[in-house]
Order: sequence, then structure tokens, then C-alpha cells
Amino acid sequence: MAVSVDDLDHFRLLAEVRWQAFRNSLGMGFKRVEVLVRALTWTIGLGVVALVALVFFLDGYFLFLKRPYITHLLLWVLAFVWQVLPLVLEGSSPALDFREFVRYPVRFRLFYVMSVGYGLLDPAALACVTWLGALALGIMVAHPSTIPWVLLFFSLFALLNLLFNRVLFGWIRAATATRRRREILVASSMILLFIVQVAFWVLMPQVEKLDRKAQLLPVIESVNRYSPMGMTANALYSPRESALPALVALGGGCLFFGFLLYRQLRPIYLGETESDSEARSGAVQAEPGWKLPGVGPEVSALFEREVRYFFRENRLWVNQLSIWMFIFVGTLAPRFLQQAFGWNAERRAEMLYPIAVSYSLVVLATLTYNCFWSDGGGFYRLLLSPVSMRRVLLAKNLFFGVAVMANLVVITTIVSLGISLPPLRLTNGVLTTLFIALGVVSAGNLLSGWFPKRIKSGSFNTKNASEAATFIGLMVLAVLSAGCFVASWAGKRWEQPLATPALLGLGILLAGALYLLTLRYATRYLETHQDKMAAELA
Amino acid sequence: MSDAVVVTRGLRREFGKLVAVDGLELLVERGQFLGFLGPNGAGKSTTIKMLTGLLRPTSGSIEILGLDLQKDGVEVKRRIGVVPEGLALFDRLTGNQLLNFVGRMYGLDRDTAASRSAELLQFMDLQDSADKLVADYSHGMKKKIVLAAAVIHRPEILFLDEPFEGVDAIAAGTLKAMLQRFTARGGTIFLTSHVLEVVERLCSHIAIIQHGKLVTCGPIDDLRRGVRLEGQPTGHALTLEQIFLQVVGGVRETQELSWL
Repeated sequence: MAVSVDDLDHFRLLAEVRWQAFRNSLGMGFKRVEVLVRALTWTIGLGVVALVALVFFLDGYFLFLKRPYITHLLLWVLAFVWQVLPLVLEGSSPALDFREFVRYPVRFRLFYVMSVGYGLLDPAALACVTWLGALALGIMVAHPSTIPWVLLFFSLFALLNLLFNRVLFGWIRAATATRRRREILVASSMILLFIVQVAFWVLMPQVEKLDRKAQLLPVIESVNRYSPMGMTANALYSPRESALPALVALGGGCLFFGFLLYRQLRPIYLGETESDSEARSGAVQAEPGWKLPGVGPEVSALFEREVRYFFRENRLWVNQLSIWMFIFVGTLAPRFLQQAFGWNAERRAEMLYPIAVSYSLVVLATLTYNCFWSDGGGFYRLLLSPVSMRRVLLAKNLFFGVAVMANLVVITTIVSLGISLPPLRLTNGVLTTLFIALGVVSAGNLLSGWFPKRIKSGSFNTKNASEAATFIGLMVLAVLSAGCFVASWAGKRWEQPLATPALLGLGILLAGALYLLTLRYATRYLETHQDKMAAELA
Repeated sequence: MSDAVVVTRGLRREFGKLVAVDGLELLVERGQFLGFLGPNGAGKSTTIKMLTGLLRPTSGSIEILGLDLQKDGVEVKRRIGVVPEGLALFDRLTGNQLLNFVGRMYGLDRDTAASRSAELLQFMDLQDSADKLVADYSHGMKKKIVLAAAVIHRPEILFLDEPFEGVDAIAAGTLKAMLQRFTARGGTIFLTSHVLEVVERLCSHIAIIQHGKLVTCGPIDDLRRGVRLEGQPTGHALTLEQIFLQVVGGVRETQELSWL
């Protein structure tokens, strides 16, 4: 498949579009803070890329012959980053679906090249190419005789990673293209996660018993030898013996994944894209029209809508289930915690509950930083309704409060299965949750107005909030955690166990007052900026 | 008691240097079916957003059903129904859940919201899709559900932004009959549409806006008699298209693209 000048023009166009989309996304922030946080993130990211590139270069220049295992290790790191990082960054990279290009008069060959090119322009792929280039440069400068082998095998290694990554993305897209498939994927992931955790717990003692040098190292070495990373490195160290097998394996791998990519792209090119419109069938649905005690029909309706959206967004409740599963395994597998973290029974009783509560709060807190995330165009519906923004926020906060409390009940129940929780610890857990929840929701109401972000439902990997909101939210969470730490420390320091709940109670009063203040401010802000909010969310 | 249900005085909205609506003076009376027309970018959507409380005017006042929109926004919203430009749907709810949700947002009790939802779904021929997510609806079905959502609380005024766009002829017939019955029973409709035939067939009154200013307003029959095209014999009734083109500046001279 030769690439023509015409193809290169299109490739340049694609690069330009991707760059423009990225540049425009920087300017789309609701506030300058958003741009600043993004700029900060990208500066740090670029700094890390440059630093890692230096490490790769230095290894190639100084350690290539002296410490071969480091080169092997670096290639493993590089392959891992190349395959995993794009999945993580998918939610924050500019939205540009290259499949849109199918509407233009492009031949399939060009469409194929553009798909591969799109993968190469991914930030993670660019970073990996930079690192691989740095390693190659280091090796070639220090050992000029290796130049042809380095160029050949690193190119093949890069191409293999690139093609595999495109195929991987294709699989994930196919697996998440319809609602039913997403549900199957989620269920399978949960089962897999559980099996992995249990397997880890069961296998850890066996692994511990192994003589690492005698039994474990040969296994690792043989896995490495037959991996693309090991083959690439070995082809450079001993070209006479390893070059031909490596050439066949890497070249064969490229052809294989190139063919799989062809199989994925061809139907898309022919217009056989899968839609999200698979109808629900046989799903049990709670009747609409919930009535909550003590609140009006509007707040009840808004609360009901929040609950329905939460359960239709698989990734949200899957996050929660994962935490519960981890706590479940941790509670019922004392040996696992003993071996993984060195926790004895006393330490476990002391640490597990607070850590479980805190970690689940960190995950739940992200729901509040962009509380209009699920409204999208429906935000207009809220504005059209005869309901004040204060009541809308109250309903959303009520949902968050119920989610936090339900989560606390589940965690407490799970932990109680394996550990006896004294009443004071339980009280502190409840008070800590209340304190942090009030603080988080106060900040969340403000952040939701300042940095609204539309989230596409069903997207396989998307962020719940803007970078700025997440950043500020995490800062708030750090301050609140520090408050909890001080309360706990004071109780121990003064040798007055009741000092901790007393201080936490005081903190709750302060956080409650702060909540009322921020609710008033957020309501006013939302009412005066409703058109901007709607434009951002719709 | 005045029958005016929508009154604007000196209504103005600026977006930076752009003046989208410029001193709009509008009066709509109860029972009118008003077609609000204008070329693209004339300020129709901005006006309708201001009238429904989605956008604050830069200056001027709006009175809906005798209430000041700025002061009594919530009460005004309770008494109007809107089919907005972007549909404004919670598309991860089913059709039935959405109608129940909207009904309860307007303060209907649970049973009333449920019975009206069922009735509306039946009326809109959506009963078979009641338990499907709105995201899975076709464009026409979405239009129908959003119209159902606009009337579920029995509003006194309906603001409809392009309600028939993408709706098939059968459904459009049902919707038109419903709207005519609504005005016959004293309801008022404020409709924008680019399909002049629809406006001509349904509306009793026409208002035309251009460059943010109202250029004409009145009963459609009066406009037909009162506005004349050059060269048109006196007394000859005009079509709405002719009136529209005359009022907004006539037909532009046809330009040609040298390369097409």
C-alpha cells in the first residue's frame, strides 16, 4: 500500500485539523482558569515527555551494551504507555471522529492511511515515538554500526504498536457501540475484575513461596524473549541470530494487525456504522412519578431523573461497584492485606474502614463538580420550567447526599462482615462523611456554574468534569481531608477520644453554613449566566 | 380587562456590538395564532428566548399574561408552554418518564401527570414507543414528544419554534388540528416557522421582524389587503410569500456564481 503525494496532502490536512481542534479546545473554556489549568497540565505533560526522552537517550548512549535489561524494560514501558494512555486520555482529547471523513470523496486506501495517521497523531503515540526516537538516537550515536538494525526494527516496532492500538480502539468502539453491548461489556468487566482480585488473593501466597531467581526469572525471560519488545531488543543485540526471527515476527504482526484493521475499517467505509439506537427490551423499569416525603413534586421529579440517569451511565455505578468489590475482597481476605500492605489484624481494623470511606467519597465527589453534566440540551427544559435554580440545585444535592449515605451503609455493612467496628469508629465514619460531603457539595455547586461541561452519555471513557473543576475540586477535597486528619490527630494527642467527633461536629456546622452561603451564591450565578450555561451544555 | 397576553416595550438585546433585537414593540391578544416571521438572523430566536425567560433582555420590558417576566418569571413559566429550537430533551429518559417528569416539574400531582402522559402518548401515536429512550426516537417522534411536553400542564400560551420541521404529513395534520383546537378554546400561540404555507394556513395574525425590528404586524387578512407589490393590481389578494418578500425588502437580484 504505497502512500502517494495526494495521500500525504490529506495526512497533512488531518494533522492540521487535529491541531486546530486541540487549539480551539483550549479557547473553549468557560473561564480563563480552565485555560490556565489546561496550559499547566500540558506544560507538565510536555516536561515529563522531555524528561523521559532524555532518560531513553541516556540509556541508548551509555547503557545500551552495559545494561541490556534496561533497554528491554524501556521498550515494555513504551509499549504499555502507547496502548494504555490513549484510553485514559480519550475523554480529554479534542472530539474529532475520523470516521466523519468517510463523507468526503476519499478512496478506501486513503481512508485507511488516515485512520493509521490519526492514531499516530494521538498525544500518547507522539510521546512514544519521541521516546523511541530518543532511544534510537542514543544507540546510533554511540554505536554507529547498529544504525540499519535500529532503523529497521524500531520502525517495525512502532508500526506494530500503532496498528495494534488502532485495532484495540476499534474493538473497544465496537464493544461500546450499542447500549446492549455496553451492558454486556460492563457485566464482563465486573466479573473479570472480581476474578482477578480473587486470583490475586489466592495466588499471592503461592508466588511468595517461589524462589524468585530460580523459578520466576526464567518465566519472565521467556515471556520477554517471545514478545515484540524482547524480539526488537534482541535483534539489535545479536542481529545474526535474532534479526530474521524478529523480522518475520514483527513484520508478520504488522501484516496481521494491518489486516484486522482493514476488516474493521472496510465496513465503516462502506457506511455500515453501528448506531446507538438498539431498543431496550424486557428491562424492568420502576414506574415514573416518585413521591419523596417532605419535598414538592418538582424536587421529587428532579431527584427521580438524577437516579435514572445515574443508573443509565454504566461507568458511574461500575466505579462504585469496583470500590465495594475491592473492600469486600479486602475484608474477607486478611492474608491478602497482610501480604499486600503488611496489615495485621489491629492495623486492618484501624485502616480499612476510613480508607474505604475516604476513597469512595473521592470517587463520588466527582459527581458534584459538574452537576449539570447529564442535562445536555435538557438544561433548557430546566430553565423553561417554573422551578427556581435553587430547587434544581437542592434536588441534585439531595441525590448526592442520598448516594453518599447509601454508599456509607453498603461500605459499613461490608466491613462489618470481617471486622468488628466499635461505635466510636462508626460515629467518626458517619461524621467524616457528612463533613466531607457538605464541603464537596458546596464547592460542587459553584464549580458546576463556573465550569459547566457537556458530557456525552455512553462514551466509553469520558471525564465527569472539566480539568479546572476537577483540579479545584481535588484541592477542596485535600483541605477537607486535612480537617478530618486534624480532628483525628487532636483526639489522639489530647487522649480524649470524644474530641474527634466533637471537632468533626463543629466542622459539620461550619460546612453546613458554608453550604447555605454557596447555595445562595451559586443560585444567583446560575440565574444570571443561564444563557451561557445553556450554550455550553446544549 | 385587556386581552393582551404578550406585550413587549422597547425590547432590546445586544450581544457585544451586535444588536439582535432592537426596540421591539409587540402586542399579542388572547386567542391569536400569531406567526412570527423573519429572514435568517432577523432576531426571531432571540425574541422567543427572551419571551420564554431563557434570555435576559438588555433593556425594555416583557409582560406575559399581565405579569412582568422579570419579576414573576416562575409564575409566567407555569402558565406557558414552549417547544424550543433545540428541543431541550432529557433523552436518557423514556418517552413516558419524560412526560411524567415534565408534568411534575410544572407542579402536577403524580396521578394527573401519569394520566395526561398516557393520553398524550396515545394522541401523538407514541404509545408503542412509550418505554423506549427518547434518544432512540426519530426526529419526528422527538418533535411530537416535545410538543406533548409543552402542553401537558395545560398552558395558556404556547411558544413554538419550528414545531413542524421533520414531522411527517400525517403527524403534522394531527398536531395542526390540536393547535387549532387550542386557540379555538382561548389559547394563544406564538409560532415561528420558515414554512410560509404552514403559517398561512394556520395563523390568524402575522408579525414580521427584520434586523431586530418589527416591520409589520396584524391580522393576516389585513396584510393581504394592505400590502401591495409593485405592478400588482389593486385588490388582488397576495400570498404570504409575496407579503413576506415585499416586507423584508423584496426579491434580491439573482446573483450568479461564475464557477457553478
